Amino acid sequence: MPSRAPVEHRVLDEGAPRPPVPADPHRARRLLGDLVAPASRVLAIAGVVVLVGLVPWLSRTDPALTVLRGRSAELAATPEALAAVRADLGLDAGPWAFLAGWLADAVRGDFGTSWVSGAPVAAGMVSALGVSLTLMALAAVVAALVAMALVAPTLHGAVHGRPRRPGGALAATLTALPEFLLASVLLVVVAVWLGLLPPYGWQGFSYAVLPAVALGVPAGGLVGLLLADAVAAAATEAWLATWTAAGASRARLAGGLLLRATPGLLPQVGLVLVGLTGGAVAVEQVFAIPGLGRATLGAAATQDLPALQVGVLLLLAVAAVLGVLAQLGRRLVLGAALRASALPAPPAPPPSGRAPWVVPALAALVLLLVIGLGLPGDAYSADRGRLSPPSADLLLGADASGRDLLARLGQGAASTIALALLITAAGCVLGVALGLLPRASTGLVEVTNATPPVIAGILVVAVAGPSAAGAAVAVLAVSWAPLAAHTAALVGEARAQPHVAVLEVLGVGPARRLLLHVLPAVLPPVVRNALIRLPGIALALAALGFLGLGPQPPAPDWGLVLAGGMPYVERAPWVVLAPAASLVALSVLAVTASALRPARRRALPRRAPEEIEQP
Amino acid sequence: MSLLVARDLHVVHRRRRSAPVHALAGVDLSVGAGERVALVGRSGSGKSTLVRALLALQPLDAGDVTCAGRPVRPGRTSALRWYRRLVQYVPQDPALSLDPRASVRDLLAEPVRRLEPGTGRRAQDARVAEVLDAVGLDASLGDRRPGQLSGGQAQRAALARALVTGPQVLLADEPLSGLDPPRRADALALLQRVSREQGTALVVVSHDLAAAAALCERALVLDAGRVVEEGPSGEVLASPSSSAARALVDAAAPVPVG
Repeated sequence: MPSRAPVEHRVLDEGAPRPPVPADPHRARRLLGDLVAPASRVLAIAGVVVLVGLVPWLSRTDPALTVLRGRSAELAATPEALAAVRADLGLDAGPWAFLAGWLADAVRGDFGTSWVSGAPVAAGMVSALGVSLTLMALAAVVAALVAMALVAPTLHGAVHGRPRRPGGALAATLTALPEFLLASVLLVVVAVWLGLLPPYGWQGFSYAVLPAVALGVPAGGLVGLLLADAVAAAATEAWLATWTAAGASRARLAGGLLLRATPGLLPQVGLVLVGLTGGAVAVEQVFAIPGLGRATLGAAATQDLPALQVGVLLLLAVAAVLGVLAQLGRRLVLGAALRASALPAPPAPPPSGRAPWVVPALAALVLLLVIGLGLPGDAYSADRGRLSPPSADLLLGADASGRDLLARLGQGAASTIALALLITAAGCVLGVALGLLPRASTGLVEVTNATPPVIAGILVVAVAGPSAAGAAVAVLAVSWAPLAAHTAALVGEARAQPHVAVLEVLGVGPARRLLLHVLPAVLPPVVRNALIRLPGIALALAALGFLGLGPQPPAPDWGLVLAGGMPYVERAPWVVLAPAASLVALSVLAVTASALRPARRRALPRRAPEEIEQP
Repeated sequence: MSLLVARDLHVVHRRRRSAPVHALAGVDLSVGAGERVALVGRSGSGKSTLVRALLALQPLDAGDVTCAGRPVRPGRTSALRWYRRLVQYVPQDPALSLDPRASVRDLLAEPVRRLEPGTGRRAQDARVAEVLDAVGLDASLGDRRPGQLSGGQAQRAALARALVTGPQVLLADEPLSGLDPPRRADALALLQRVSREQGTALVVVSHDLAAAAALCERALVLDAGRVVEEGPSGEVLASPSSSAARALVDAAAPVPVG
């Protein structure tokens, strides 16, 4: 052993003053780092405004032609006349000058005049917004009632000492139908067949009932199911027994259970509220309600771009306000716990006793049957009798043009699923890439989460016109965000694993750590998550098709088939029932498959107590 | 001359919306060649932060770390290769620190590949065989995955991985925590033997003063980010003078029954 000076036994004077906290040498970098997320938000919002402002310039259809047609049916579309219109609109000045002009006017509240009617667009859109907000408020009331009805049995069982999973999975699944489908079915059954309520318009309270139900039931169904699950999980926790033993009343127990179950759900409630905005577009279209969504859809159909710009901005603003309200609600409920990052983990749902795959397997079987039987048929020739009823030869009957409905549904399903697979693959790539940069992508994720697919679809249609590819781009643009969030969470977990944390000391560089150690742990669960979302993506595509924002006739898209059948529902119910039933099977698959989701968090190795730093 | 020197280290954990935590408040430490030093302290005393600072994983707010006279600070992987060859680390939970997908041979060869690029395949194999022998593991275990090793074997494999680049200093984080008494004795003896045979200096982090004293000739007691007592480990254990050291000694005393 090398010689060294003997070690003395020294003790620090316990009264010695603590050295002062040194100034932060990395202050500038830390402040910059804190700015990344806010900057990302500002950039994302600015990006959306710029995109909306540039729509007339980006549009592939010639805006000048649209305006000319709007001004006069007689004027010939000569190059001179078109150039005059372009100069009038400011389109000849180049994109940035055009954008600057639009922004300067928009700040003053002047969004221009309609290219179709010539009237100022802002005033009409704001009154339409009032109608939409009324509809959404009524829908929120319906949603709250539905959620309470769904959670009540579970809560009742829990406070009486019999915690159980919410029952009636199929009934609950039906509440998770997409709004456009539920609206169509309600319109057909309640308004047309039973004649109980008016089918179209907005002239009084009775006109608002069906739309509010169509919009509120899916939202309330989803929230109610999640809440019932969380309550059932919370009821298995030990504190409930402690409270019961201490003599807490049943009302007290129920309150405690709800308070324990709610915070974990608030992010999802935020997404559901944002979804109301997109759902309102579809519901207004079905029931012909003069709201913001229908006005914006109409503007997209007539290429009335100034009206479309205001409509999209207002819809996004409503979605953003709802998202922010949900965030504020979360802060209010969680309060100090959120700031101290001492958030209690959301209760894990108890394992389901019955085989959870039976319902999704049945739904998948129905879809496979439709595809298998329909794919070989001829989806385009109108050689059958118009509106022929179902028969042995024509299993689902024929549509209004005399085309084989089963063949149309089978081929529509095949092309929709192929498209949904492509979107899923692209969404995986986008989600993983952006999930690796959680702070820089904050704004993009938030804007995406506040954009329902329908609004993205309207924007894409305004720029490129309606097409299957455009619908795919719109759905892709808003479907990667949950995958990015999942990736970010998994990356954090993977980096915390001891065998990954040690790599830096072994000389393994950052790129190698990421590619060989972090990504292999992250990719399989993210891909599984993306595949589970596939039916939901197919449903979003069908919704865009239904609203005319996707493939155009005669494509056999499911949404188009349903929309095309609506006018004939009284004479030939099968033209609506066949596509509606197929879509129900798809919805059931989407909802029940997402309940199959494998546990998101694998149990981390428990840390030894001495490792936890005490401040 | 001392090999690894830390002078007046300050680390402040700054989080938004909470008061900054002065985790290291002026720590001085020097480790000579072949010396065995214990860092003891209760939870939250700053041990883990000090280890991260010594491993160049923790940005410092003030002070510096030098090794053989060269400054050491967090930075690019390639710029720290020389240091990682000289100073290596056996993490807490050694079994969990081994990638479950890799073979023991690959796990042990990885530091050689990364820290001594250009080492040939056969030289890597020879080094792996050498360290397996040094920690008393049979060469046939090289083909196994970590999941196929016993707890004691995994601990030895993690130690072998830290030794494979021939470091001058070995940092061991709680090497005895979570072990039952017979395995504690084994682990103590192994660390002591390796340190003697290879001439490697040891820095042992522990909350157990008695065990650390059995292994190391010198002990530093950390409390609230400062070294409150240091000296020959036997003396610190026998006559603890600071309240923090007394608390550690008392905590280890058998609980009176009755």
